[in-house]
Amino acid sequence: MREILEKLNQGIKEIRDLENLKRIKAEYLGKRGYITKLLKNISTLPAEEKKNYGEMINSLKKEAEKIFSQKNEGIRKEIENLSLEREKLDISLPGRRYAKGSLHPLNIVLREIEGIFEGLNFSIEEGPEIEYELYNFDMLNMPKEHPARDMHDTFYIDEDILLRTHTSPVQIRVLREKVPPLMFISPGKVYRRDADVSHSPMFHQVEGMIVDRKVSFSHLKGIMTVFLREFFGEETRLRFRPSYFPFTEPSAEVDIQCIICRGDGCRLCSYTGFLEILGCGVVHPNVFKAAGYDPKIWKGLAFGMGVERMAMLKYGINDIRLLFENDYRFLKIFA
Amino acid sequence: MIISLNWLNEFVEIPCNAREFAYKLTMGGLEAESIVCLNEMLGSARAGEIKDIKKGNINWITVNIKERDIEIATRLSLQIGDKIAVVEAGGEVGKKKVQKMTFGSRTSYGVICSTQDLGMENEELIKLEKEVENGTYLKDIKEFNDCLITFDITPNRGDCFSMLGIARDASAIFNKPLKKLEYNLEEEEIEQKIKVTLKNTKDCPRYSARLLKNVNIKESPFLIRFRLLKCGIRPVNNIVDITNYVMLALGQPLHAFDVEKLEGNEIIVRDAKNGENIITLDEKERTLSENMLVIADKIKPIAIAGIMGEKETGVTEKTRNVLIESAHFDPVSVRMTARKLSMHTDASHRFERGVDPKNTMEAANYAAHLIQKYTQGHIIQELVDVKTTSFPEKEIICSYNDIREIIGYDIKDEKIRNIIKNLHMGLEDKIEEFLVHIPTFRFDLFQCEDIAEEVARIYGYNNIPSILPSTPLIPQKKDKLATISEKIKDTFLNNGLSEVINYSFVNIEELEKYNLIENEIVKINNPLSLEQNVMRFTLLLGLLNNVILNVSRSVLRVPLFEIGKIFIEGEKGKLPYEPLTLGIALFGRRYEPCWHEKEANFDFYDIKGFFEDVFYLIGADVEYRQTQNPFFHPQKATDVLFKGKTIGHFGEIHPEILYKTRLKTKNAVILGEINLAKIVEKSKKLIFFRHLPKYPLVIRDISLFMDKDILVGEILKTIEDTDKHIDKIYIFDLFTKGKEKSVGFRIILRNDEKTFTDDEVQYIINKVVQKIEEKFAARLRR
Repeated sequence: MREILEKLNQGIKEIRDLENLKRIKAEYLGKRGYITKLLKNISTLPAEEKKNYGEMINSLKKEAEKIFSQKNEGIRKEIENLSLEREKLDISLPGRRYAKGSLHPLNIVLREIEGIFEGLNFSIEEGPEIEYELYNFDMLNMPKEHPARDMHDTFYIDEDILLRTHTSPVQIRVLREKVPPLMFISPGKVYRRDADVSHSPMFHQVEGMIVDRKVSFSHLKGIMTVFLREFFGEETRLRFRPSYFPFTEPSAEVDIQCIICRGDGCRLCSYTGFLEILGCGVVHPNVFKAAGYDPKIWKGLAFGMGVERMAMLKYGINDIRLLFENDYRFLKIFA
Repeated sequence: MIISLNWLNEFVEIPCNAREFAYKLTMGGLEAESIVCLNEMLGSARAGEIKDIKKGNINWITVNIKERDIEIATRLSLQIGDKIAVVEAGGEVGKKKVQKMTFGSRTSYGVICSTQDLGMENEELIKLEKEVENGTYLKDIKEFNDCLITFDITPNRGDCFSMLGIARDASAIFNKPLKKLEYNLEEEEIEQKIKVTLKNTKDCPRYSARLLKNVNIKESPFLIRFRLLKCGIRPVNNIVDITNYVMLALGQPLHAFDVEKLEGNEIIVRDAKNGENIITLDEKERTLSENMLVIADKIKPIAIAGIMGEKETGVTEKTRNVLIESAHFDPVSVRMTARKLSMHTDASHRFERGVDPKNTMEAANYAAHLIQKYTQGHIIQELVDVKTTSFPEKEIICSYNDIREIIGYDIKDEKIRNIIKNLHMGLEDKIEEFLVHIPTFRFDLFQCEDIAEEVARIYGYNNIPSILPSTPLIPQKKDKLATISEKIKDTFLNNGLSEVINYSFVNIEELEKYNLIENEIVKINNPLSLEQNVMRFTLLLGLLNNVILNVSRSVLRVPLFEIGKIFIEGEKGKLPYEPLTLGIALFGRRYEPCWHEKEANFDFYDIKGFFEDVFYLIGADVEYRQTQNPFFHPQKATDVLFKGKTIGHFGEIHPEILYKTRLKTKNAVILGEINLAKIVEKSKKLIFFRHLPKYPLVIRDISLFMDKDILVGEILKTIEDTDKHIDKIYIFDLFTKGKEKSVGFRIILRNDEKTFTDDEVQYIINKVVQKIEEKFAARLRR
């Protein structure tokens, strides 16, 4: 028995691959293998020897199987190690990234603004970009002869149809179609006849409105403060100063502390230390009357801001025209 | 509106420095845009007297600055004896150093200061009074120790376009009384009268005037000239300057007529006749119409009321007798006329926003006083003042509680009362309410809300607390189209498309050039430029121009999309149709340069894939049909049909269009757009759960040869319809050989009842092959 195992060990000593090992294993343990044959010989033995012989061959078989499985494991590991050596990757090569596009910076900012207001339970309302003069001006307390119309240099399509100069007409539409209390913002494109480094004939606005029985100017300050701190950072200093919009009374302009000089005065803020960021106010009773609401019962707050200005401040873009030129290299910056 | 603090100081005491003053007024509602303090700009500027002038290409002047004469080169034409402001070389003005300059062989040892050097808007020579001693530093002259503040006055505050107006607000903000202008009028009794007739008392309810004789027309004194310059108005002559000076001081626009040029001693304020002509002071001929108000003499209009006077009757060097008009015109009337005539003057700006009708006499008198003082004119005793009303004050009823409710803060009665009184309004306390008498100079106060703003702004917005409202929670529904377009954007971003935003207006000629005219176009009546004269009804032009711009800047890869509205003309008088539209542009390399993909260019199937993603996302069933659209390549583009109607198209642009772009490229430009609003409206994405296959799926590949023009899409449909067990079909192989192509289909079979037997599978596959062979004359590739 020992001899047999010795011979076996000898026979596989030089084997380096699994195929040859398998072949040798068959020579011993296969159907016609040497050990198998030995086991078959048991039938020729006398009955009293059969038990001993059987036990002996079986343990020989087990021993052989063990040797083969050890050898097998040894060779497999050896091969694995070899291939680990060979299969080297350049892990410094860039990975396979699927191309990513970029959202337009104005829409990045718009999504952020919308997100903040949605978090405050505002809904989003939209309206047509080409509007009736009635909705854009008259019903917003800006009759034809009103000098405030000078602030809105208007594109006309027809005598009484125009490109909306603000998204406020959406407010009129919502007031007429929905039931208060209301809390909504109206984002969208607006148009004014003006073009230079900081004015574009088409630009984007987000306006908002709250209509309820008891809201006041101090609430407006509250909402604007929460929004602006969320957008520009918790530490942002704000200032509210009186201004004029025909559709609100009282009206306010909100300035944030200059994001460049932090209030010391620089070119961006024309040395005032502050940047004008949005307009707001308590809804004018005439607007409520025009929309069929009793201004004695319903109070409203309204606000509006330019998305271009917010985006330009956020990213430090100094020429508004870049936003509408659509140079791919410019757009990719925002990916 | 630019104010001079020195001048303002004549109306109210200013208790702080310029910067603080500007800040306080800004916080009170008068926004200070900029501040220029002259004393910071003066540097070493001094008074100098011109002793000698040598004219030439460059004029050489000799200026005496007391201790010596200096030579200065200038292009200005000056006169000997003029007293001007100069800076010697080595000194400084306008925060800039002044250096010696050599012209040929001569050296200029200084410069002449202009108003612009001191930070003012207009460039004008600073001519000093003759009495100023040579060499005096400007910083020692009072009018140069001044700060100018530019206020951006909102259109509701017409009352603030003067020193007096700003002073009134300042007096409320700083709680200081207004000072009264002190002057005397020495009137003479002369028998000459001017008759004034008001024919339209609605648009001109009051006309005051002063007649002055024997005026001496010349240059205004330094004080008047320099104050006008500070406020951005160019001096003309003493009479014109004084009318402007009074306007800046009191807010009342004045006009001076040359009395000898008037026909008859009569002023008639009337509506213009249709087609009546007038040559205005700016030497332009203007044609009037009947709803415009004019000032006329017996035969002709001599001024467009509240806007501009006529040239002929204006003041000239030869004028001896003048009539100073100080009238009140209706804001709407002036605004409408100015708009129709496209005119905008300092006078019309004020009248449009409202001028105090009770101040006409004061302004006429002040002007008369100044004319008398500076031109030695004689004031005729009788003041003309025709009016049809006494301009009663408006009254507003309000309550302290109303004001507190609007502001949302507990401001005490006493405080509210004081603020209103400090704003020069009368206040009468009633039982629960109070009555506010609105002064005639305020045109912006109508109701209690307006009074609340007045209180809030003087109280200080920043002293009012910030509180969050407790409005009820209302479930907010999101718009389906908006939600889907955001999802589409996200899909595209993750697949490498970048978003663009193009202008909504386009050039109609460009639309024509590229064969893009299809719908009724919405035209803009008053476009900013011809490049933007119509509203877009396709996104394709914008996207094409984006490709052109990027290619011209050598960008090799341009994958873009846009989601925006297009505009289609509707019924007359109705708003146009504005469907939200989705557009895509692809050009150049499919991949960013990389080591793992072969270089390839975008083609038709890229754009189709992007659109298929969209249709899948929306749950829309669409069909494709070869396009007839002349913008697109007839073979490499398709129309998209939804419920039988064309809702878009995409593909390569027509080679002819590509040629017209003048792009020097052999690469295809791939564009497309679909009407997103229409398909989203009528589609619904449904997701049904189906359990995972219980029995093994069977996969079979078949390859067929067929004529190369056969549409694979048709075969796919045929295969799908062959057997209900066909779960999915992929096309795994495609190539052309001569007139034939080979298409490899991978068919996935699924059976939810049992495991397929070989025979069953073979039966289905045979059926498929047989059907394709019959229908498309195809043959199985062995």
